[in-house]
Amino acid sequence: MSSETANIPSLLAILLCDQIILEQGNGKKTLVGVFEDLSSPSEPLAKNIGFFARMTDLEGYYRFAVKVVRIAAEGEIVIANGDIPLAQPITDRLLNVDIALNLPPTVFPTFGKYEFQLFSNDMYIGRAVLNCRKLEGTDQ
Amino acid sequence: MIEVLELTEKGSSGFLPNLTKSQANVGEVITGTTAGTLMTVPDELLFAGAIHPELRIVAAFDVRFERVEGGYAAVVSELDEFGLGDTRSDALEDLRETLRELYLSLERDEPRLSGDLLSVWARLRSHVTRIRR
Repeated sequence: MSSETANIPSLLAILLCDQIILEQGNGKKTLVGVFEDLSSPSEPLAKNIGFFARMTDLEGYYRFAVKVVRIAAEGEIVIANGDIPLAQPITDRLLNVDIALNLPPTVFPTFGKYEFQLFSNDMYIGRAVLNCRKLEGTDQ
Repeated sequence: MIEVLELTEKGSSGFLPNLTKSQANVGEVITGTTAGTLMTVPDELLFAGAIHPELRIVAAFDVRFERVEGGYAAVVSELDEFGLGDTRSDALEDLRETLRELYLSLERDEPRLSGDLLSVWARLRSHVTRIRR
């Protein structure tokens, strides 16, 4: 089964956090500091972000991609992206498949709304929203 | 089976692999601009996002974004359906709700559908299937 004929995954969860800790041996994952808002006194903002997605209903070869997109009425811009190819095909559709990434620091150029969009074989399957806000009580 | 994947520097752009820990703290001022090249979002998208907990997307929708007065439209030409919003993201969210309502209403009224709507229903079912009721 090629990536063109692979099943479309069902997205069960997609979360952003400060860090993902992977426990050696049993593979357990700890998501530290799940959030959807970032506050800063000034822009741009930069942060290390943990990206977690759980999917099921997968069968075949997959190439995932994460795009960080600035959402604005004047136009949307991809500020960062990354490809995550799976080397081996997935053969059991009942299994859960996790993507757990400790992303390199991401710079958000301005305050506003951003989306971490997840693509499977070039198909959009879901998003996590991040709101970057000016920290109240500061005037820089 | 659980897969843990890594985003490699080779396969990414826009992230800052060399930023120091102190620079990465939220709230600190970063001089300079985002690494990598900023890219505009394509005007077309293959949409395979969930539209309802009981429905499953089996084939992606071809979505085209168009500028309209006051925002954007996310258009599925095959079904002659669209979603509207201030941003592409809002338009896509509106389209998601439109597709869900279209599926549920056509499913409910299937015995009474006219020829045109039966055609739409057939096309919609080539993209969406019910997984439980």
